[in-house]
Amino acid sequence: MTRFLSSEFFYHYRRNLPAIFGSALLLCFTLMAIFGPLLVAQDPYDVTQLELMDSFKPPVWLEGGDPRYLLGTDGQGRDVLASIVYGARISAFIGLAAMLCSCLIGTTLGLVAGYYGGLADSVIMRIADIQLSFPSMLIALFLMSAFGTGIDMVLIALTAVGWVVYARTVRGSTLGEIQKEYIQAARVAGLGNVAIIRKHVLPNVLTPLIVVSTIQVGTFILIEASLSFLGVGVPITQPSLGLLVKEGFDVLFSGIWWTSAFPGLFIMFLVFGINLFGDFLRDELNPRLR
Amino acid sequence: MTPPVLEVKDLVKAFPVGGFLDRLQVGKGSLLAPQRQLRAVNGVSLTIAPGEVFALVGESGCGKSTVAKTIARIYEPTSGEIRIDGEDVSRLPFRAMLPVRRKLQMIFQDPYASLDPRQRVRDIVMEPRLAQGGRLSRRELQDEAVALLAKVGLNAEQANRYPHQFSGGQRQRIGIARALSVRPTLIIADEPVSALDVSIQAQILNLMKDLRDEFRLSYLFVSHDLSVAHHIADRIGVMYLGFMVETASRDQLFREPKHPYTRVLLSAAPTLDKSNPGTKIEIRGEVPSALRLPSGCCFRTRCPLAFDRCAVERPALKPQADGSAVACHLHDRTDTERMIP
Repeated sequence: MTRFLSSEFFYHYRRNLPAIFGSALLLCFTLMAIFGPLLVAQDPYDVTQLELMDSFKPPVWLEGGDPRYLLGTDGQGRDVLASIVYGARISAFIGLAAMLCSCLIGTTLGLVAGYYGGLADSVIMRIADIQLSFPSMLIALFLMSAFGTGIDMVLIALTAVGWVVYARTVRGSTLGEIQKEYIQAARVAGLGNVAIIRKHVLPNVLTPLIVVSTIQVGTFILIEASLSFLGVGVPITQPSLGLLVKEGFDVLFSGIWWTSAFPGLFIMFLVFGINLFGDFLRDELNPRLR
Repeated sequence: MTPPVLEVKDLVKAFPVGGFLDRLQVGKGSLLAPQRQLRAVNGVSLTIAPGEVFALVGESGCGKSTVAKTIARIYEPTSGEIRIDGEDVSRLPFRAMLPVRRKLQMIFQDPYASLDPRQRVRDIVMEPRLAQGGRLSRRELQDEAVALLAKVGLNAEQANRYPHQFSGGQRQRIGIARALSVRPTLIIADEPVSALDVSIQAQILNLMKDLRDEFRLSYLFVSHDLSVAHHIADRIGVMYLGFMVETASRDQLFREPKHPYTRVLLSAAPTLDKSNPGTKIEIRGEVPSALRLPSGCCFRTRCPLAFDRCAVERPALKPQADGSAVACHLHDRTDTERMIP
């Protein structure tokens, strides 16, 4: 721990205000997603806890606000804050899980393409190029409408969209690494291809991978929110932040702005925090940008 | 007589050049994609006796590193034989090479690129040893690594560090320790000191000499630096454009170079001896492209002594009376009347 505190990484971190702000935001949201359900009074998905009488209460600081519902309630009398806390867990889970899945697949394909080259490289990278020529939103939308909705489907769609970034990043770094003599040294030592990839290539392409992964979580949360907003994302029984915005949007023009504005703001700050921290990692871990 | 540690016969290495689209041409009314080849090594033969240091010299791009890396099977040989302790290994599949790698290890040129920056020194030096299979406990691994590092003048505490914490010379010592980990009989050293400061070069060369005596090693030592080759080699082979043009014992080569290219090369080496500045032989032109080798002798396009036969017939490396071997028609015994004055 003391070694970390005196490290160059931490030194730069302390002097980077956006990074501190971003990571503070992230920390808040993480704590909230973990411990939030213990703090909010209501489980918004337990119908027995809902009071229809309390529907469309405005936030507490407005006239007619109810101190039990800090950010107001929606049409079913659900506490908006409680919905956000539960919705954030779903959004964060989808973002992280999609990141892991696409990282796993994309990294593997990128390593294969970069290390073996030749036909495998051509095929994998051409598929990636073709896919990149479409907006990722469009592909996800298409997949969701074709194969149905649900959290598992969202994960598949996000993975299908996200692996390209990993594959390209990893392939590029791999091409750089395998030129170096330590790979040849490993070959002379008698290591096979798989062992070389596992012991030498992978550890050396890990840094850009970490940077990409951070940014990707934010991107995935946004795409998922958009999909849910368009009605092809998560089911109503497991509402993510995007679905909350959509639900609120239906009544937005009746002057009931809080049901969509607060989840929307929450998404914004969450992704903002992720990106701030991701940018810091990118600058810090990429020696070329120093 | 003991069999040679390494015997290379007619080693050829050609690299295909360009992707399919780069090669497309229109010729005779149809699309063609001729296979172009970069002929890096063109029939090199050499032998190394136990305990001998054979230096391969030549200018950049003459294929000397390719010879080294092909023998180490980093590159697959296009044709030719590579015999290690009498066994032809040039066609062995990757797995079957593993026992051979116990006899043959390599030291690399760039001490900054040849060590994995994410590995501890302990794991780096033990890598060839561990690749041979067999389990080692943490304790054994540490002890063996420390013993190896001691052989190259590094201490036990340094075993747990990472490569970036070392200087170039120290890194090269780590590279040497790695090569020693399987107790090889032959070490291929690809320009092991060319990336180092001159003051460090001597240390590393002397270390390599000491290790040769201690472990009875043979070296195939690749260098573009004649003074380095002179310092360490017993015998020297001179390469030009992928051909071996002359092999001779060190003293013979420096005293009486036979091939015109060797003479040019030696005369181009800077000397501090003011009393004997040597005669500079100047030659014109560039090294021909390895994509289009000249007919006949590889050096004829620049050789001041070239004559008709040189363009027609490729000279073979022929043994001379004094034990050296030269690939030059001027030294062909059937052509003695044309001996260089």
